[in-house]
Formats: sequence, C-alpha cells, structure tokens
Amino acid sequence: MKTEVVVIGGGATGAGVLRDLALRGIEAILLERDELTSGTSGRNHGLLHSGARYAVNDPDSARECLAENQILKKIASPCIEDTGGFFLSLPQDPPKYPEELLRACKGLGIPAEETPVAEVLQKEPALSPKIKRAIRVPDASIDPFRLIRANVEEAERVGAKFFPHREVIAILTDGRLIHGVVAKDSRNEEVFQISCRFIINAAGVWAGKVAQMGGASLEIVFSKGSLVVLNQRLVNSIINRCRPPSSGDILVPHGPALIIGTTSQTTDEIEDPSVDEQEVDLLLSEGEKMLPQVSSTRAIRAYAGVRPLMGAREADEDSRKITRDFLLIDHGEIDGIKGLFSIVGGKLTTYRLMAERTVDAICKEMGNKTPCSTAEKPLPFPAAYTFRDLGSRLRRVLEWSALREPDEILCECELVTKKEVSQEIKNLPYLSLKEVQERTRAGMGPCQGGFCSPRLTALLSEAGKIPPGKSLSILKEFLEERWKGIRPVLWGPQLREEQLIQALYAELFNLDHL
Amino acid sequence: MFYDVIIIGAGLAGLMAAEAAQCQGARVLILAKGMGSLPLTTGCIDVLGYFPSTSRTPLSSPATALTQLRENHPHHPYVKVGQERLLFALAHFQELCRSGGMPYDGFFDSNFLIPTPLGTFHPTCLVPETMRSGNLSIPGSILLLGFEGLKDFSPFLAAENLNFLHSQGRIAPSFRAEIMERLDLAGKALNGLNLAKAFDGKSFREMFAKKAKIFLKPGERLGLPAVLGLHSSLEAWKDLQKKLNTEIFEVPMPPPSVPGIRLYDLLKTHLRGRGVRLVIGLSTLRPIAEKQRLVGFSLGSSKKGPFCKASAFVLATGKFIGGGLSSERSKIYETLLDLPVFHPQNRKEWFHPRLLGIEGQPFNGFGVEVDENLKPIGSRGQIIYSNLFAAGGIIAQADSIKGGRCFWVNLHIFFDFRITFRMGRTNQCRGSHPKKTSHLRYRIAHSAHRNVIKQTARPHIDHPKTCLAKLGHAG
Repeated sequence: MKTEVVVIGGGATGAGVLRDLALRGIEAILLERDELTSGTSGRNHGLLHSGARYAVNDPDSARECLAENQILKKIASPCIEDTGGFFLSLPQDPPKYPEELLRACKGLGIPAEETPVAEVLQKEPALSPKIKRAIRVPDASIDPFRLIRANVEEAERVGAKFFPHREVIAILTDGRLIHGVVAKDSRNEEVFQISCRFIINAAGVWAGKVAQMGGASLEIVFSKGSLVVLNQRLVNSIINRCRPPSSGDILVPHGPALIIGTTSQTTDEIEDPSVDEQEVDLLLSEGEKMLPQVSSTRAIRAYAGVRPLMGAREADEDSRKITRDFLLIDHGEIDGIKGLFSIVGGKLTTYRLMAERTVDAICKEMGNKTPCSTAEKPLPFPAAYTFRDLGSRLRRVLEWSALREPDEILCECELVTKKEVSQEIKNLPYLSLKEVQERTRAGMGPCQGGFCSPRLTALLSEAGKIPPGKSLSILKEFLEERWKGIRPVLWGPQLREEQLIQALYAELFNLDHL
Repeated sequence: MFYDVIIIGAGLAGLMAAEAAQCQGARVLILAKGMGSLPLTTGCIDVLGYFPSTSRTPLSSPATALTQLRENHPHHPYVKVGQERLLFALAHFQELCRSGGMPYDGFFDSNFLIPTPLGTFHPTCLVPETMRSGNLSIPGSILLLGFEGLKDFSPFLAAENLNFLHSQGRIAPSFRAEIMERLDLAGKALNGLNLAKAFDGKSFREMFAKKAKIFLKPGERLGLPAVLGLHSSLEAWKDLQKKLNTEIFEVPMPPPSVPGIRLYDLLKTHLRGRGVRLVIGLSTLRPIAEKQRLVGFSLGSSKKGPFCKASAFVLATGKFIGGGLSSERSKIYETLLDLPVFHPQNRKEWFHPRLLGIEGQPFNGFGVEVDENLKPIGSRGQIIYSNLFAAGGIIAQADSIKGGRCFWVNLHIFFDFRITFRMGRTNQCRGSHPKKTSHLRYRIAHSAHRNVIKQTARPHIDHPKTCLAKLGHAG
C-alpha cells in the first residue's frame, strides 16, 4: 500500500486531521489499533468548553476553546446540544474567584455574565439553594462519538481511507527520513506495510510509544479523569463549580443522563483505566454540594479516560496545573527524524484547531497552498439526526406505531428500535455491540445493555454482521466491558437490577460455565 | 387475627413454606409486597447444576454429587437436610404440580440439559412436562420456530450456537431455524404473555398449527419459546403435539417468564384451596416483637392498622431482587427486621472483577446467617428470634453452589418448624384447620429421556409418612 500521509490514532485529533487532509486533497490513511473513539476521545464528559474553565489559569487554552466552541456550534450543530452553562459559587468556595473569573473572561472575550441566583434557581430548580453567585457562560454538551465519526465519514467520502483494528508496530526510517509504517491487523494477526512521506502521530496516550518507534522521543504525563453517569438529567445546563479546577466540579447533561466529572490523577494505567469506588464516592459527594439530588439519584456507570498531557515531570503531584494546551512537534526539527509529526495534549473542544495546525505544517513541507476549510464547511450528519433526547425518540416510536408499521423496541431504556439499528448497521461490515451502542445509544440507559444486548446480538448475527461462531464471545465481551463500568456504582436499586441481569446470564443462559 | 405461621414473601420459598405448614395442619398467612420472583425464573427446578461449582462439565446427576458435597461442604444446606428430605421435598413438589395440572418431569438422580434462547444449554433437575422433549441428550433433528416480533427469541442465533455445540459433540440433536410471520393478537402487543394467553384458545392453536405445519419436516421435533398457554398450558401443548403430530417443547425465556407465572398461579390457587390466606400488595409491614420472640406484623404504618399474630414466622423475602436485602454505598441490610447481614465494608469486595467468571459473584451469597434449624442467628451464633425461620434466597450462601439456589431452602423447612408452631400454638387459635395431606402418592414416571441419560442407581423413595417416622417427626 502507498499513500502520502499516514495518520495514527482514531480519536478526535486523528479523525480531524484525516478530514483536513482529505479536504485539502492530500491522500491519507488513518490507522486505529482498536475502534474509533476507543481511547480518551470516547471517555470524556462530552463538554464543549466555552473557555471559562481555563480563563483564570490557562488563558491560551481558554482562547482556543472559545474560538472552537463558536466554530463547532456552526459546523457540527446536530451533535451539539446548546445548553448554556453556569459557574456556581457556594459559601465554602473562594469568595474572590467569581471576580477573577469575570475579569479573566472579559479579557479573553468569553461572554460570561453574572446572573441573579433566583433566576438560575428558577431555570434549574434542582440546584442547591445555598448558591451565592452564578455566572452564565456559553458551555454546551457534545456527542463525541457522532462528531468523530462524522469527520471520518466525510474524509472517506473525499478519498481518504480509514482502517480500524490496525496497530502500528513499526515505523520505517533510514535514520533521518521516514518512509512508511508496518501495521498488524489485530483480528487476524496479518501484518502489512504502507509506504508514505509523512506520519502524523495522533495516538493520544500512546503517542510516546509511537514516537519511540520512529526513533524520536516524546514525554507525556498521563492524567486519569474519572466520571460518573447518573440516570436522570437533573439539570438542563452545564454546571461548573466556581473555584479553581478540582474533582466533582462539573455536571454535564447528555440526552436523558447526567455526567459528573472529573477527577485528575497522574497514572501509569493507560491501557484500560478503571474507576475505583473512592473516586465515585468523591465525585458524588462533591456533586451533591451543587445538586443535592446527586446522591439519591441512580448512578448507572462510571468510566475513566486518560488525558495525554505535555508537561514537565515536576508537575507530577498535581496534573491539574499542567496546561490543557496542545503541542505540535516536528520530529524533523527536534530529533532529526524528518516526516514524523506528533500532535499531543489539547481538548476535545480544540480537536479541529489541532488538526488544522498539524495539516498546515505538513502542507508547508509539501508546498501545498490549499487553505484549511474545516472551520467553514459543515460536517455531514444524517438528515434525521438530532441530539437524541428521550422525548423525540418517544415521539418517533409513537409516530411509527400510529402508522401501524410494526417495529420492536430493542432497548427499552433508550427507546431504540429494531428498524433504527438495522438502518444504522446496513452498510457496515462486521461490528461489535459497542459500535452499535455508540451509534444508537442502545444499552446506555439504566440497565446498561443488560436486557437489550442479547437482542442486539441476535440482530447482528441474523444480519450477518458477526463472523460465524463469534456471537457469544462478542456478547460476553460487551457484557464484561459493561460490568467494568457499573461495578463501582452498584448499590441500591442498581444492585437490585444487576442481580436480575446477572441471573439472566449466569442462570438462564449459563454463560459463566460456557 | 391469629395464625400458626405467617410467611413473608410469595416467591417459591414462601409458597412452598406455606405448603409445608398447611400440610401439617397449620393455619397459614402469607404476606407479600408483590407476586414474588417466580416470574423472573425459568420455571424449572435446578437442584445442582455443576459440582464443584467451578466445573465446566454439567452434572449428570445431583444425587451422585451429594456424597462429595457431604465431605467437602459439611455446612451446605443439602448436607444438613439430607438426601431423604430432599427427595421427599422434590416428590412432594412434583405431586403438587401434577394435581394442579402442570406436571413436572425429572428426578433427583439426573439432570436435564435444556436449550436456551441464546443457543446455550442449561442444566436443571425438574422441568415442566412441556419442556421435556427439549432434552439435549436425545438425538434427532429439531426445528426451532420463532415468532416475528417476539424480541427475546431468535431461533437463528439459538440454532447457530446449538449446532456449534452439536459439532463439538457436547449435545445430541441438531437444529434448524425458521421464523413465523407476525401473528395477529387482535391488536394486542406481541409479547410472551399475550402470546401465552392466545395459545390458551383452541382456534388460535388451530390457526397456528396450520401455519407451523408448513415449516416442519418429517421426523423433526419442534422447539418453541415458552409461551404455549398461560392457564391451560398442558392442554395447549398436548393439543399442538397432536395437531402437528410431533414432539414439541418449550424453551425457557428471559423474564417475564410464562412458566414462572404458571407455577406461581398454580401454587397460589392450590394454597388458597387449602385455606391458606394470601395478602399480596402490601407496601408497609411493621414487625412487633417481645424480647426474643416475634409477636406479629402490623399491616400499614399506623399503630391502629390491622395486626396479624402468629406462633411462628418464616422470612422468605429473597435477596436484592426480591427486596429482602437492600444496600447503600457501603452497607447491606436486611429490609424487614434489620437482621444482621455479614458483608465486607468495602464495596469493591462485593463483586468479582469479571461479571461471568466461573467463581460467581460474592454479592449473590450475601444474606442472613441461620442455624441448623434455619433460624437467623447473630455474629455470636445466638438465635435472634426464637420463632423466626428463614427460607430461600435471604439465607447467606444460598448461592454457594450453582444450581442449588432456586430450590433447596424452599422445601426442607417442611419438617423443621412443624414442632415449633405446635408448641407455640395458644388457645386463641380457633376455627377449622385445613385437611391434612394424606393423599401423597409417589409415581415414578418413565419417559423417553430416561433411557438416554446414563442411569445411576436410583435411591428408594419412602412414602412421606415413613420419611417422617424415620426422622422422628411422626405425629
């Protein structure tokens, strides 16, 4: 195989870079060792930052967030819910922080505005009445799965190629200049080679490993962020705690759920980060201070992502102090390995800008003068797609039943129907239940796929989307992944339901013995 | 109101405890929040599916494992109860179901392997007769027929996985799958329960048989989801077998399970007929105790609410599913009497890192500790209430060996508390007692599958009266 640019990593950055390259007419291949969004890009709180969070301590990041926030609201509106957000100051919070925040936002041009507490409580009656001050900011929630897929889908439409399940195992260089990569298909161990002139390392937490393959060096600090998903959308706005960044300071409504974030802890566990029970308890007890119902609402899942941060090791103690800004490294200049670029750090909100800067650098090398168009051109989304709230889903199910078109609701929690899933998977090759989940929200509700996953397995199997003989292992893999996320939040009604689900798989289906 | 025995909970454990008590002449009251967890079960009676529990090979006979169980797990309830009582309990259960028009097939000395909707197998001891020909030890070819729109049964997925097991030589029959076009249930939603109600009707069966005939090849057995009738399943099943001229079997389905509901209805009707009173739908029950004795329960939160007294009490409230246990972030508690539940403080230790690890989940084993008479005890082994017994899932370690969790604790209290309620009965107790059961007959049914499963020596089954005499409980 031969191409111009190989992009490594199917997260937000890699997907953004692929789209940018493709739109500028540059031939490119994206390699992902697992599936799209299987790394940090699929494990965050889905927040479209206004920049206010970083305004006081990290103004460069804040400025970029603001600009990108406005761009994404234009080009990706179908996967953004423009909720707006607030920074809330509680009696125990630093009393001067609201002023600092307002001043910093003003300096950066972030539209932040003090709002009377009574007005905020009227809009969000579930919030704590102890709030002292509230500042309104243009935060929004964003669906990273849809966003990233839309980038890749558009890139593919204009000629780029995307290969999931291909792990780069070597970078070919002659010591000074790269000329290709060797990758392995993780499903059949098949090894193949791609010749190219440029490699863009967008491997996120694995970027250090990839750089090393090319003989370059790249030091990354890993910071784990854990989050908890609640079953109810207790607020309709993004809620931030008005104090320097800390654990449990953000609440993000997503469809019918609410996500509480985020911890920040340096870690070495990058392959399969897990949340421990203490982190869950900390997030809930902090979240409760802004939103008292947090502790009595059903938590349905906890998950963790690892942020790849660029920073000196001295910052080990508190990874929050490391800038959330990104860094583009031309290894030709730094390590003398020409053709290899690494793009690390940054935020989901700034993925497009990161891609733009990276592709600009490559175009400069190539002498390609085509300007970047990703900030103007809207991303393609299926016409029917809107942000998936339960209300509109219910409306659609009712419309269908009024038309007397028989359909089955496969996922009762999220009202996902058989037709919808069939439609989504129609043109796809083999796929996993997790991919179906990310495309449809099936399995994201309170039972976390406990009841719908056998149905989805049957549907995939009948449609020929599962290799023969693999259905049970695909189901089990999904159930174990699901278990990892629900184990730290199992108590109360969630534990009760889980016992029933466990009985279904271990007792009736006997999957623990087969 | 005064009763000999009050039972809390209407799952299999509670209902069978009631049966045990009424058989011995007790006046029985069942108090329950809802219909119990039978509708969440397969409706089959699992006694012991695997031994040791981490074995990958299903046990062909629970009876043969009992000796080993005695050596390795001396405190296991089966060991405490003994083989004879177990046999008696199973036989009694079978007799009861037979007289209720829903016979169960099987014996303590052999397990069935039956297919599941996922195409796996499930080892079990007693199955409703309507599931009998699903026995995966019987060779032949089987057609699995699904219903378009019935979402929890995909015959194609099941057949594919079962054929894989067949190709490995792990099961005898081979499978084929077909799906029947959407049936009209007179505008009702197509689900297991509505289908089952439809199959109660003769004309529906007629229509179904006509359509099913087209799919069947000569010599094929027919597997259908367990929806063949709700109130008259035996009749529906027999009728369909006759009409289609082949053996038909039901495949147990995820909840709500029609066979589980049938069993619940059967037991409830039987008990009511025997004078047992059932009060179902209670949201508040307040216990009244005097020192170390339970006196009764007040129904409702008011002190003036109805108040029921009894000599003996059986706690059969189940685990988390049944509502007998509940939990907070670092605490697990028994919901009705706040009996001690031993569990690690750290939530992390409640669970195994793998959901479907063969070692099982620790939280399934949490519950109330009991003494050899099934009386709940505290950390020092002291009896908490002298007249309180526990039955079923609420008992700690009820899960310790796979396959035993549905059944064992449900029946063997049959003997243990009869003396207690007799001694505790006071003169307040008036009115006629339901007739004692003197008609238990033991029938050793022979069916096709018996010749296929490797036979082991079948222990002699005593008449229940002889059983009682041997155990020194003869009244």
